Amino acid sequence: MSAGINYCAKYTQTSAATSEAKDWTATIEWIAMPTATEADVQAAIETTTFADLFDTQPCLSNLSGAGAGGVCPTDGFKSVNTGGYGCECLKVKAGKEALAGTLEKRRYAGASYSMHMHPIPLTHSHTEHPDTSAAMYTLQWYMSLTVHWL
Amino acid sequence: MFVQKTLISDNPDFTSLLTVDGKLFSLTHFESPRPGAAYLSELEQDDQGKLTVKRTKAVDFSAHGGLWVPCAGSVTPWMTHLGSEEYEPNARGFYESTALGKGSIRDFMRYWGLYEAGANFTKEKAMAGGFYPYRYGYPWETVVKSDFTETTKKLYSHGRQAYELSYVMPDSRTVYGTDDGTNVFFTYFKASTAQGIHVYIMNTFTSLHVLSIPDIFSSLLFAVSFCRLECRHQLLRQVHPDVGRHL
Repeated sequence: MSAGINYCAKYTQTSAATSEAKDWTATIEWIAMPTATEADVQAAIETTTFADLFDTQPCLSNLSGAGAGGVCPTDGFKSVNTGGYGCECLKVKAGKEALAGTLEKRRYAGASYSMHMHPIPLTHSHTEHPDTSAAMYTLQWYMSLTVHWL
Repeated sequence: MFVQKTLISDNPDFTSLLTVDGKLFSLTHFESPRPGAAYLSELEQDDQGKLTVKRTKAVDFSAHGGLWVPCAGSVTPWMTHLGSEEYEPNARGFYESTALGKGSIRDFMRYWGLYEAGANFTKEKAMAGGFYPYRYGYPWETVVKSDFTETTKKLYSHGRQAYELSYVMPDSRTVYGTDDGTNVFFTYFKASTAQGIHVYIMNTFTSLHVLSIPDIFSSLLFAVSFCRLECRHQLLRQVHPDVGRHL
């Protein structure tokens, strides 16, 4: 439980772009993320700041309305809109991938894996995976998840 | 003017029920106010099934700078409490701020008795008191022993997000983590080694001082006898995937 690798879900929509939420379908691909060790995280907690992990730039435009996009001034920066922080132009600093992927896991995922600007309001309130693989996994827990693709 | 110095929470968000060496324990964590808190209780159950609280104490988070916002939780297959911390503090906002002012971090400083009213609360004061944003936003696991002692660790490698809860799959390696909010994501952590049946058997035997029994079949039967009906199938299947099919 202390040592391992994080994975994040990448959804690729397979239903029409304008489909209702109830008709929304997608394939899921699990992407391995750079994951820091417990010791590395603990050593970084009091010594590492956000600016040690990411370079930042102001977004040229903000997300507002369907299809609107955040645009970054410089190549190499990725616009992300995660966790209610609005548009951020981020670039992971070289050599900081594992710490950024762990301490700023959601921002890192947004900056590294988001492929399309495609708003999709999706709420999971109940998910079941009845016997979809060798092991029978049933997920029945309160899950509040909204995916809004960048 | 009435000044309330004791914080009272009406916000329990998860309660686990744990059996440890035949004893019953329950751990409840409270989402608000800040700082969050968790309490461990030892329970007694009469022959009618009625549960009574025997004793209660606070869970110690001092090695981890306190507890941020524990939301939902779960019980691991090896019978430990798996808690959460959601709405991780925005480290970018923290480190770029000149004044923190009102807000959740200022409230959290009560963990160290350092609440400061007014507009002059700064990140420097927060850090001097012990608050660093990268210490919060993790799942945490509490291991309870039958003597009413407990140890808690945050699972730092799982990474920071707004954990609604973490949930361990029956392979005892895969831990799904849900993220509460808008524009968030869905993740899982794959542990490099499984916890579960082996650990369960070893713990059981260590506590009973019968580790010298080498026969794995005896060990398995012994462990199964400790297990309820619903977990028996799962235990057997973890030893060999084909075992469960013949039940």
